[in-house]
This record gives sequence, C-alpha cells and structure tokens, in this order.
Amino acid sequence: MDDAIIALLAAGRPDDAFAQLVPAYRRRVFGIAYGILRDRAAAEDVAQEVFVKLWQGLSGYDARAKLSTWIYAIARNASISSLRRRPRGLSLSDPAVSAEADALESGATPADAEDAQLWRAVDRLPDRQRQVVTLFYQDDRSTEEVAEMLGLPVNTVKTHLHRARARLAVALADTKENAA
Amino acid sequence: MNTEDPQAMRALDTRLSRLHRNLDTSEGFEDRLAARIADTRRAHAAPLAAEALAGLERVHERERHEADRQARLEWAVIAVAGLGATLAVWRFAPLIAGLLESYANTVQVAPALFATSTLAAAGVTLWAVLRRMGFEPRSLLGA
Repeated sequence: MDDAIIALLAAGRPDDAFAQLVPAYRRRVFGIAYGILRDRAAAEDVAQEVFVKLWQGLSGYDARAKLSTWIYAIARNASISSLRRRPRGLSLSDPAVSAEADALESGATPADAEDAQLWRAVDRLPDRQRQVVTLFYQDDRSTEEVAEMLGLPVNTVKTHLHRARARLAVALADTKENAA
Repeated sequence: MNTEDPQAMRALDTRLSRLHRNLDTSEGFEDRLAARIADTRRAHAAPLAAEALAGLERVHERERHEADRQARLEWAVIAVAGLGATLAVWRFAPLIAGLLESYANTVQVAPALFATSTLAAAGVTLWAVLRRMGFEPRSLLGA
C-alpha cells in the first residue's frame, strides 16, 4: 500500500496519493489518538487534524523516513499536543466508554455484563498498557506493528501487553467472584 | 481467571478483539475531512495569491532599482569620459594640432586611405550608437 502511495507521489499526483492514504491509515491514526486521549470525539478531531497536516505535507515527503513511521509520528505528536491543550482537571475517561459499558451491562446475557466490566478494566489500565491493548486488539495487529505505531521497542510492547492481559484477567476473575 | 490458563487467555483475547473491533471514526469521517481540506485550500488560496502578487511587485521594484543604478553609472562614465577628453584636448592642444596637421598632410599624400579610414571609423561609431539605442544594425543588411 505504501509503495503505491509513494509511486503516486513520485509521479506528481499527491491528491491521488492522499485519496489512497486516508482509508489505509484512518483506523490506525484514530487508534493512536484514541489510545492517548481516551475520548472518541477528541480522537476523531485529532485524526482530522493529522490528515489535514498530511495533505499539506505530502507533496514534500522525501521518503527519508518510512511513510508509516512519518504518519505515526505526526499522529502521536498531534495527540499529545491535544492532550496538553486540555484544561487541567478534565477527566480523561471517555464518556463513550461509560456509555458503552452501561449499554453492555443493560444487555440480557451475562456475557454482556462481563464485556462491560472488561471495557471498564481496559479504561483503568496505565496509559502505555492501554495504548498497547487498544492498538493490538483493534485490528489484531502484531506487536512489531504496534511498536512502530507507538515508537517503542518491540520488547517493551510485549512487556506492556503481557502485564495488561494479566491485569485484565485478574480484573475479570474478581468481577466473576463478586457476582457469584 | 487463571492467567496461566491458555484457554482462558485465548477467551480473553477473543473478547478484547471483539470489543475493540468497532474502535473507528464515526460515519462520514472522510466526507468531513474532504470538506475541511476544501476549507483549508480556500483559506490558503487568497493569501497565496496576495503573496504571489507581492512577490511579483518585489521583482519589478528590484528590476527598476537596478535599471536606475545602471543609468546613473552610465551617466557618470559619460561625464568622466567627457571631462577627461576636454582636459586632454586642453592639455595636449599643441600635440593635437600637430596630429591634425599630419592628417592634413596624409589627405594630400593619400586621399583614398584617408577617406576609407574615416568612413570605417564613422561606420563603427554609428554601429555602436545604433546598438546602444536598441536597434539591430544587421537588420539593415537583411541579416
């Protein structure tokens, strides 16, 4: 995919390259922003901002860095800037997480209630662990790809993922015990 | 849940994948992006046009300054050369008179040589003057 986009850029067709880039990277950019911001609306706003920046800078892309690495770096920086612009004291937890959890909890099956607890448990994970979990499970990505997206070493991602899964398993077991 | 239990962890993975699958932008994201880019393009177009115009004016201004400087320099050269020539005539009047006298003798001795050299000098001068005026003398010759 990146090769096709780069070929279009080399052919002096940045608009066509951008038209291919958006669907290819939309979920990934949104995933990075959501993992950092924990707010769907804010993540979507950042994703828009990132793509506008990419549109403005795409014709100047010189292939010194991998296209994906460049896009992920812009996405991370825009998300962190957005996080810093937030007023102090504002909760980072996404209202949509609570709404989604509530909706699941109100479902008819015990599995829905467990899913709701799992959502809440993911939301309570430490920042890095939550970011890794979000990107890893969003599209069943490899730890290598998640590492590239977050700009972290692969082993660090593996460690975060291992610890996050252990925490989530314990949180889910506690929920079951309390329910029993 | 036992974190060492592979089956339980696989079930957890499946559940997490299912929960995260719908983590995506909302409907119409790309349309909103296209509209935002169109706005950005419009917002940038006006300043860009103004900037291009200002750039053109700067180029014209630079060219005008350069032409003025060139004209002043040429006038200075002409004035110095004129003054120098006047002083030279003043200073070397006897020598010039002698030269003119020898020319007059040449006319008497070899009038054809005198006429040819005078015409050649006049032609070269005329050629230079016409070129300076922006006229191409070769066009008179049909070249």
